[in-house]
Amino acid sequence: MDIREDIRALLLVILWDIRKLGRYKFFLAMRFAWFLLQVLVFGLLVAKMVSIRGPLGVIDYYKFYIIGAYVAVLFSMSMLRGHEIVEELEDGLIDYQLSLPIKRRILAIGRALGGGIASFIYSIPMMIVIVLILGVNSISAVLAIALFSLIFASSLVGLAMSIALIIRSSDRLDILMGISDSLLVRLSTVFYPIIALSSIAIYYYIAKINPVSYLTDMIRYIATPEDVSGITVSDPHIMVVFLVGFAIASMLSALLLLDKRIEGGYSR
Amino acid sequence: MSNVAVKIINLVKKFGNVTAVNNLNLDIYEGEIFGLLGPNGSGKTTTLLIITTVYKPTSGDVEIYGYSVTRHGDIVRRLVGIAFQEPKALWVDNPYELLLWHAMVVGYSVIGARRVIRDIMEELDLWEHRGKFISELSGGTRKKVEIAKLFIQKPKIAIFDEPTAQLDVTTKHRVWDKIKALRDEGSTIIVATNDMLEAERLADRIAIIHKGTLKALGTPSELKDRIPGGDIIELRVDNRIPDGIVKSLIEAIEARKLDYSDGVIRAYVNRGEEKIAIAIDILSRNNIKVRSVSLKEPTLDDVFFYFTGARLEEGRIQ
Amino acid sequence: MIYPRIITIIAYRDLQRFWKYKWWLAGLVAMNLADLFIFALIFRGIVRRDIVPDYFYFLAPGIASISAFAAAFTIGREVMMELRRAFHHYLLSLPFSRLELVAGRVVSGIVRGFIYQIPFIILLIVIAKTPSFLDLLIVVSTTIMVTASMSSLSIAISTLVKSLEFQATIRSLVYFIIFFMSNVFYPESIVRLRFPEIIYIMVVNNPISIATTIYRDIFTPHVIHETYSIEVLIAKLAIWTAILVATGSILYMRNLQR
Repeated sequence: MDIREDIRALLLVILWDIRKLGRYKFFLAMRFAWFLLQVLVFGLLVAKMVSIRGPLGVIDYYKFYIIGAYVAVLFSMSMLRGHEIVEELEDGLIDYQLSLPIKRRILAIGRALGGGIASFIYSIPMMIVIVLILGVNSISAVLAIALFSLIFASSLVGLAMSIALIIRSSDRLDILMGISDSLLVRLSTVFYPIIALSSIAIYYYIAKINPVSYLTDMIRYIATPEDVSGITVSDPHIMVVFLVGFAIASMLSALLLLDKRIEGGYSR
Repeated sequence: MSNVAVKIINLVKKFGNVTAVNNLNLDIYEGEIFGLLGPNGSGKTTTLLIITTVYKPTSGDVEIYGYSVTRHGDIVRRLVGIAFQEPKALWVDNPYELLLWHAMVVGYSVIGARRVIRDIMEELDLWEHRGKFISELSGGTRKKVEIAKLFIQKPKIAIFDEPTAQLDVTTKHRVWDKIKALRDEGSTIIVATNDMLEAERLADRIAIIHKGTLKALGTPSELKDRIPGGDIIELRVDNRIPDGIVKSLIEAIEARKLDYSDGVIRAYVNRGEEKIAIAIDILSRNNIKVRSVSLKEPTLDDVFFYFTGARLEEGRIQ
Repeated sequence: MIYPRIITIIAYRDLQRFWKYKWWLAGLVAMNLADLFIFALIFRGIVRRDIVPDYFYFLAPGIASISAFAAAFTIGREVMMELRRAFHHYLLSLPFSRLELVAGRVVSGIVRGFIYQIPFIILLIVIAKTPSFLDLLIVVSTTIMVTASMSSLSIAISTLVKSLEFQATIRSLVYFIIFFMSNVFYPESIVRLRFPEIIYIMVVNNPISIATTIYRDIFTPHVIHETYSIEVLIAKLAIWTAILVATGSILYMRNLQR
């Protein structure tokens, strides 16, 4: 098939998720309110209580924390896409998409990218808030934050899709999403640097392989490099490789599952 | 005359600028099956929701055995029960739990409730669905769960809002029989419907409501008789009929209109069943042999059209 | 006349439904436990000891009050779902008074809160201390007041606004404000230091803060630096409860019937 036709199909699949943006304005308002309260109340107050010393002196915990708050919101919004996929499975919309003249890999990548773009668009107001508070005035830094956020959101949507395709029940998926949301955010560097986690070995090792830690520290490294020097989860190059690798792995798993699990019919 | 069970007095209900019920007056007698006939949006359901104290009237009142829905809501709710048009259940409910709870609220003990629920559920072929989520049931099955509530409750005034919508023909007849049985056990029944057959089969009296106002009230045959020349008598005769005989026939049977051609007389009259004998008598006396006779009565749809100027289907669309 | 049997039946129905949202509950339990056994344990190492001597023991009573609050608040979601499907028409047509209906719902909010909170109270007993009989009575009455007031507030919001999406947003917003503008995660002294006096007054008088201080007083008194009077706190909570239950009940009764 023509490459142009593939690109056209990919764009149309991406559009499937993007066109639903307007439907969630109240949901977005809610998330934004949650984020603002975290930044303007929780963050400000907790920063007064916390004292973390890095290699270059005491860390400004407020700056440290608000980046974590942004990633936590982006994480939960992207994972929610899994819920949408299960609903679409239950409503027969995935069957409809599978009946269309679109290659499976285009469908899988398109849905992951579409969901990722949608989640990223939702998170833009929050990204603007942290960029303003942190005083990031380099365009390239802002673009890098946006790019890594988009890659991360698409990876998570791919992962959420894979989980949704395995679980296939909105009830069970809700349990898993609720639990993963609670655990993965807390077992990451969202609230505390990786050195603080070292007091409990199991938590430390989970945080070390948790993608949430990698995006959070990557953004910290881009936005406030002097503050987080020496306390990130890993070396910046490794963080980039990890995030891109995670994206590829989650896309592949979504593709594989879409191919193997769906064909032959969805039954509940 | 029986006692008045439900008295609707100058009832008005407005939602913003929209008048859903406009100065409605009605008496519903104890022990009757009363039909409220009208298309969707005619004000039937709003009236029923006021009777059940769900809505407050804008003005006017409804009295249930003398108790006002506005002033004695708590007493009224002990006398009235309703099966809603749209089954009232959340998707996480299951039929058995829903009916058990309803039975307990209306006064059954847990043991008594379990017994009566099983009986009613079996009668309505619901027992096999008892543990399923409401979301997994068909529209017809959900509807049966809704009407089962009233067969369990047996209230003094039982209100059915379109009880057999979505049901198959066999189940419809079974439900009609159960509604009649409920009346025989002492309930006064109000059935809101836009199904002519249902109104005709069930109702002792019918009120036609259109755009919130009462257009006509009476038994089905009274309503049909109110259509001038609503019955059609059709007579096939052998001989040619002289004009004079046609004239006297028109006068004798008080025909609104009479067509005669090719040996067929078609006369538009009221109370056709009485007029057939008179017509045959006149023709026989004049040595005109009658080969066949038929009487066509107007349908309730004709009645609705006559009183509202719209077919029920059109009203529904409006 | 209010019949306890009817109130019990109404509350029973709400509770039956509470268990049907077990997946949602699982998420909530996970979050509360993760806050305590991950967030608080790690935070304990980075919080200044002069401000909070032990963050784990500081947060544990707060989680107990947040859990009761969150569970009681779910009743509003229920009311909203009923409005969405016009299920409230059915409830309004049933043979009980409006007062019994609202009382049943508030009772169910209280019981939901209790059921959900009990494991956290047991946890407090295990990790902190066993309360005396009088202390236990204070804990129980605090929980009753918090859950009654929060379920009433949640019911009031659910019947106040017409648009269901808007209603869900408002309810969440109120939830977030009560959640963050409390002393669950930070001592009141820090709030005073960082924010204007008015915010401090709001935080100190938030029913969740009041309940948290009472629980802290009973289970982990060593983590509180501020001075307070337990009698005044109970009185304040009682006033909150009276106001919110009355407001919630009136609004629920007024707004359900069109």
